[in-house]
Amino acid sequence: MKRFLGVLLVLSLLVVLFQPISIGATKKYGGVLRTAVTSDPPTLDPAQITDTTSDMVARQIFDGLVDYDENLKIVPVIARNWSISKDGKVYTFNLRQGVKFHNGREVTAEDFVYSWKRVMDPATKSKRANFMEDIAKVEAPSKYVFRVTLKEPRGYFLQMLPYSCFWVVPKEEVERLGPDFGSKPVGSGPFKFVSWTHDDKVILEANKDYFAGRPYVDRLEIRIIPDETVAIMEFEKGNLDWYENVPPSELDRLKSDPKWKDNIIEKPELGTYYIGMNCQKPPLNNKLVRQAISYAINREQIVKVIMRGSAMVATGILPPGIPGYSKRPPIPYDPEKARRLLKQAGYPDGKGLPTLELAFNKSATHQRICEAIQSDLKKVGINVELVQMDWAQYLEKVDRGETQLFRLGWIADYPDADNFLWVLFNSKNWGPGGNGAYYKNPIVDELTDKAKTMVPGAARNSLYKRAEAIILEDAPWAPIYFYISRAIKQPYVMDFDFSGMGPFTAKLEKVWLDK
Amino acid sequence: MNKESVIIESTSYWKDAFRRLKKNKLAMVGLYIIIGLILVAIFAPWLAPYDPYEVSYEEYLQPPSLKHPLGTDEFGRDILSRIIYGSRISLEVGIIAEGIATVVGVLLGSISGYYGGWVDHLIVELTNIVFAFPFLLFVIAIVVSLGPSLSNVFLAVGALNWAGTARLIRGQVLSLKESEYVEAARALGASNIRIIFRHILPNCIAPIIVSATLGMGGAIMIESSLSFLGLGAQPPTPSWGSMIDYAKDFLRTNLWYSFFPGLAIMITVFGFNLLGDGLRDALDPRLKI
Amino acid sequence: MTNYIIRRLLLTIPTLIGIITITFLLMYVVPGDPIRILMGQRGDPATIAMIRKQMGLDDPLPVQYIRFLTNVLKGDFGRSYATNRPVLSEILTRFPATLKLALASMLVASVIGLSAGIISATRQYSFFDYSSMVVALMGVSAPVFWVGLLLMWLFGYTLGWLPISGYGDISYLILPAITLGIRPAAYIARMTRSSFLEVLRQDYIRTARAKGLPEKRVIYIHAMRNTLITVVTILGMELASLLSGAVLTETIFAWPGIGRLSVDAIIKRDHPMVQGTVLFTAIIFIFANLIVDISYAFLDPRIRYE
Repeated sequence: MKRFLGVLLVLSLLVVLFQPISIGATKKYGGVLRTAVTSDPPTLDPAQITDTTSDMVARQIFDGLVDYDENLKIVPVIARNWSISKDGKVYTFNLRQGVKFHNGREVTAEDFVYSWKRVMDPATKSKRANFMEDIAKVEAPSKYVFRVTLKEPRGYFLQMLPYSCFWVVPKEEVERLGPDFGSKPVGSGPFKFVSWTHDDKVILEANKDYFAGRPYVDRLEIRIIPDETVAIMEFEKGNLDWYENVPPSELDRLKSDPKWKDNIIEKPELGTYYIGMNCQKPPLNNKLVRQAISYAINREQIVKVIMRGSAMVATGILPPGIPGYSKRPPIPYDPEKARRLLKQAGYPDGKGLPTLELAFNKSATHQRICEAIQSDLKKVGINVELVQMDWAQYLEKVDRGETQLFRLGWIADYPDADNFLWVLFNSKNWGPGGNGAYYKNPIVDELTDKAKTMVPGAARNSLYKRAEAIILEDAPWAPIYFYISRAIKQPYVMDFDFSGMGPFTAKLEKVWLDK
Repeated sequence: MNKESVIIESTSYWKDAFRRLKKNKLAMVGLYIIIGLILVAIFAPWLAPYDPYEVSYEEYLQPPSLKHPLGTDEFGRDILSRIIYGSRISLEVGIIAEGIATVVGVLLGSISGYYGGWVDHLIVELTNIVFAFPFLLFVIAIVVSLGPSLSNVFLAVGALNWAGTARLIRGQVLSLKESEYVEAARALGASNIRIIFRHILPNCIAPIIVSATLGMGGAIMIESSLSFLGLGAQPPTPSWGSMIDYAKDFLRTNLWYSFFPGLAIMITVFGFNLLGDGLRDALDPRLKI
Repeated sequence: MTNYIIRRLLLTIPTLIGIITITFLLMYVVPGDPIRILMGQRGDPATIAMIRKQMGLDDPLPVQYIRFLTNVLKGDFGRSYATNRPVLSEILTRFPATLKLALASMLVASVIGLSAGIISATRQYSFFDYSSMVVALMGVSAPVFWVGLLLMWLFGYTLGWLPISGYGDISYLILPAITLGIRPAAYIARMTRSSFLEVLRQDYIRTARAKGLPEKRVIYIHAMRNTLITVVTILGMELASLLSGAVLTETIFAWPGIGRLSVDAIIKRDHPMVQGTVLFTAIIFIFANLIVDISYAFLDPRIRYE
């Protein structure tokens, strides 16, 4: 007994002694942070970026006026603070002093004027030139004041600014490098560009002069590994420190592995996976048929079995986390109701209904989901033929409205309901503009047009709530699931976090390695 | 040489060839594999224990068991049944795609070899282009512009594989057209078409059969790689290639899932190759490819 | 010989022009807009129209064709639509990786293929003969991606003897080289065996034997030289196809080769890059053929080119 007490005493002493150390462990500097992406980034020029892979790499090198924090709140970066005029049209940003480009020159308001005008200039051929279309004027009244005047008030303008085309680039480097700027980028961000072996590896190093203090790690190594299964093997072998594209098929195994289960970070992502239905094409121009399809899909089964719980059953169009999101009950799986609706539409048991085409672009996951939907719809008498296409052809077909049923997943460009309800459902955006379902409802058009110009707040959100309810009733989409973004990391990777926009927004300058 | 003697000679030729083939054990194994495969494909609905399309989520990715001898896939579908039905796709691809290639190749090859001149130059140039052209681009271009479907895969594979046959036949025709009996037929006033079809091509039958059997194995392999790239059979039609493509995601957790369709491809291509080799030796021991 | 080479090279010009034209038409016919695809899921129509105009994509087809052809003749392959990087430099940066992998897998193929083939031929109908031929046939029949993933999983992940994927020192080369080398190895083994057997039956070998030359020398000198012609033919063809990239192997092993570049270009409808990779592949192929033909002359004194 005495001995036991003695052991206990020593143990508790140990606990007391070591606890404060482990809690207050100081963050360590140094080391290499390694990750992988699935494709070679097309470009690292902020004016040209349209994909999250390029964005993930480029955002380490560049900074903008503002950024999101982990909760999608807008926080200052190069802008110290800002004010918005009463009419909501003029934004004045006060810039931080002493922020430097990697070539040593200070960032001034003129640089923002140059960078933004560059995106607007047709000669730049920026694919995001349209993101600037709300802007009437950009100017630099003084060295550290940058002012933007909008044509009309825009409720989401500040939310858009973290997007890559609004980042600042140094004029002299852009002009010196010409078209090669996208391959040898120079910015003002926490990491500097070192080297890039295409299809193999991008290497960045810590910017020791970063205005917010140097990043903890010395280097970033971003490998390009096209196959996700292979990347997971590399990760488990300890050759990657974090990775974001965990395939659903590996999720069960990793989540049940004690080594990894506490190192998987999941967040609702601002995206919705859906089956679009072309509202102009018979028989899908009949609302009842569209509703029937939506009720006949067993979403829970898809999320549970095919996605292995790596997503959430969709309850509407807007995913949680978007301002204006309203909590709704899940769309029920109700084959009986689907049959009733079909009968009401004049197709009892699907009789008289032609075989519908469900198009998707090649990917094992899309294919699985579409196969599941095909088998669900068959149960209520709707025959569906699957059509698989490659991405370029698929986009063209959807744009032109040549599809009947099609699958797509929309992930927000910026966290605002406008980016869903106006972009995807306003009849101005038929086709490539985003409304591939060719949906048109004058009330939805009016509501989304109006909400665009309103200041953020409850009044604006209530318009979106109404619009979303109408859209769900009209059923141009059968929303399937809301995305969950996910990253897996090694246990020694500390302070790794990302915003609801997805793991590509991880602030890697804050990450440190405890090894 | 009169008609009768030709027939007598050819029947004994085929008899001899078959006797030689029967002696070659490996070739007979190949023949049995192919016959077995054809039977499986024909009788698939009776042989398959389950409906290959029947989704049953409760039986997600089950390992091999008495109920499902080769396990189930991620839709709970019986893998054995899917492999049995998949044999239809593989055979179709092998026979139709290679059939197209052989017909086109034999026609162009014999025209090129027989007529010579600018026609020959043109066809030879065309085969050169086909050989030098990246295969994948061509297939993707065809499949993408005509829509992804099995028949377009046949077309794509056929449109490319003809060049090898054409080259082979051209060489044969070149040497045969100088032979005495062709000269004789020409002297008797036979038309060119008649000479090609009645006198030259029958003598090329051995290389044609060999290159076709070997090509069938190749076509099956191509379908499986195309499925892997998403250009093959359309879901939910079970094809061995697309099954492996699906199974790849589960390589770590459920190895058997990719193993069985992979094995099926291997055995089939193996069978065609054995048979092709055997036929080559049996039909013409001197022939080299 | 020099004349022969010059004539052969001149003959490639019509082939190359044919290939350029076919590629050009194919890319024009294939659905999908190269600019639209760069926009992501949603593309502002006005922005697409603006970029297409800036890039001259709306010009009539013959105008675009002539412009492209004159640029190529000037040695300018243009810049990729997708990355805005020069096509030629993109291809050349991938070439070392492709070359390394191609040569390494050819080495694997010839070492395994030749030795298995020769042993089989000298011990015809032995157990080794049968089993090595069965293994060789299986090698020909196994899907490449399947073999690659299994090799990687076994030697890279489970045993940890070799790196799983990536581009680096020689250890990174082994698994992809074996994956790619298995098929040609099997092929070479079969061809070596049959051509060896054939040579052994020839009169001059019998003569050599009758003259009392030792068995081994007979086999290795006489038979070997004739066999090499077959092997060189296969190696030449395989090398040409490997130098145009092995997309599945490159994808699985994250190897930065030409195959991924060219398939990616097709997927993105990146016309200049597709043209560049197709032309590059074709030139490689033609040269490989030429080298094979020339090497015949060295291997077999009876062959002479005038």
